[in-house]
Amino acid sequence: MTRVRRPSPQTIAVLSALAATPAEWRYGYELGREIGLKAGSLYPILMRLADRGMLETSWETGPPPGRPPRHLYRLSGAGRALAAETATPATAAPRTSRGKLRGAW
Amino acid sequence: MNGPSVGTGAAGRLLALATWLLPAARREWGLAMRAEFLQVEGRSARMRFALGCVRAALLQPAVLRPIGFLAGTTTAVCLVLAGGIVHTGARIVITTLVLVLASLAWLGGRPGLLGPAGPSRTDLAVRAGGFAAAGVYLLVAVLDNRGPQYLRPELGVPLGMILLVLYVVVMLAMTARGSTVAPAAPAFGIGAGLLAGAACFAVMPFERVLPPLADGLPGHGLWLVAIVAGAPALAMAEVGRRTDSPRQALLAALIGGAVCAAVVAVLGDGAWLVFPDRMPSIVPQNAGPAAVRHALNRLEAGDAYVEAMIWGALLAGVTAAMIRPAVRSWTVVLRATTVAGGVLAFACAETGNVDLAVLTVLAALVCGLLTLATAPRRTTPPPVTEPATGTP
Repeated sequence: MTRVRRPSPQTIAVLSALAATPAEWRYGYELGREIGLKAGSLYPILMRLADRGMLETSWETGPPPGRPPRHLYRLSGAGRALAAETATPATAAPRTSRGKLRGAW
Repeated sequence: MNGPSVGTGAAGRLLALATWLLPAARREWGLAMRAEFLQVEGRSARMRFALGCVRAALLQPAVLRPIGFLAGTTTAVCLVLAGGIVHTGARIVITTLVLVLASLAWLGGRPGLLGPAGPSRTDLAVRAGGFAAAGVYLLVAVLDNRGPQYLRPELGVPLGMILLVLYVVVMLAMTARGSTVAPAAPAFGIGAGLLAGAACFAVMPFERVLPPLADGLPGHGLWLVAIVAGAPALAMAEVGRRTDSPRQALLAALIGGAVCAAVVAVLGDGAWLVFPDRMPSIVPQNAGPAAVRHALNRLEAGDAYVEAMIWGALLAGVTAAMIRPAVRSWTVVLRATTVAGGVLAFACAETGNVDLAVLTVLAALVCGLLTLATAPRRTTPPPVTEPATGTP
């Protein structure tokens, strides 16, 4: 039997932010800024969520000339279920006492 | 989808480093980072983003593993070199052992004959225990070779070193994902070998010339002989009952025998390190200063334990020949040669042809390893991976 660990506060914050607009595709940089996570913390979380089927990823279509397409993210059905599961009162405050998530770099 | 360059500034170079560090399976994420990087405004923000990307890349297990491995190996080599081993030969031998064990550990994690570890907890436990034992051996070897040496230490180390490497190779092959060895065989075999080895050491003449340690036990400890023979036999019976396979049962007995031989050799030599003042005096008193006599006594007393190592090597060779199923005629011939060599070696030893026995053990060992290397591996379906991309 696989042991299911409770996601970290940072992961819960990512899930919550994506679950706020579940149908919308989000950019990584903006997502990180919204929840106060630096790239060093955000990307490993996004990779893990994608590996576990919680996250759908896609590439931007029709980017302006000279700019590469950006990666887009949104929750899958399983991701939305996990976000709903983790959005309990006990985990509703994943931020530190300073009001920001502890994100490295 | 390479897109425009991220520039040649420090932040751009860091981002290039991050995307380079990412394993092949994560290349898509490198492109994602690069596209986001181009959206970041401000020099310091770009630098922070690039640093974060480097951190994200370094946190990937596929990146962390080789870095940790390299760091561990380098640390071990540095400890050996700084460990006070003054004799150049011993330094070379022990450093080589560290590098060989590190290479084997690396191969044990790569797909192939030696790895990666099978899914069973026993496989992981056997590997962890095997490498822990190898680490202890290395540590003891370093401590044992510190300070002045009165004999040529490089003459004493290689046999133990060769046996250790052989055991590690067999252990890895046995617990690799492609192995057909049932987890019960090493589990019961090792347990029986540890028990039988301790009993065997106790009933043997202590350090060749002193009464056996078991002499003080009721019945002079002769009942321990039943443990020496019975433990591997019980392991064989139990594994046979659990797996319904004569090959698995035989493997349990072979593993038990090999571990038993190693335990005897380790205890025999280890006693000189733990109880140096209680060891026998075999060489004449005029053989030299006390330190030289101690070294010579140890060498003389070690004959029985060297013999145990040779039998251990033979059993490890035969075990290697039995790890994978012999379905090709070439493999069948090699395996039969290995087993025949083992029987012949015993016969030679019993008739006093020691040199021939040693040569036969070597030949059987080579045949056993060749059998292992040429036997087909069990094929397992590749893991199913789903693409992470979707459509907007």
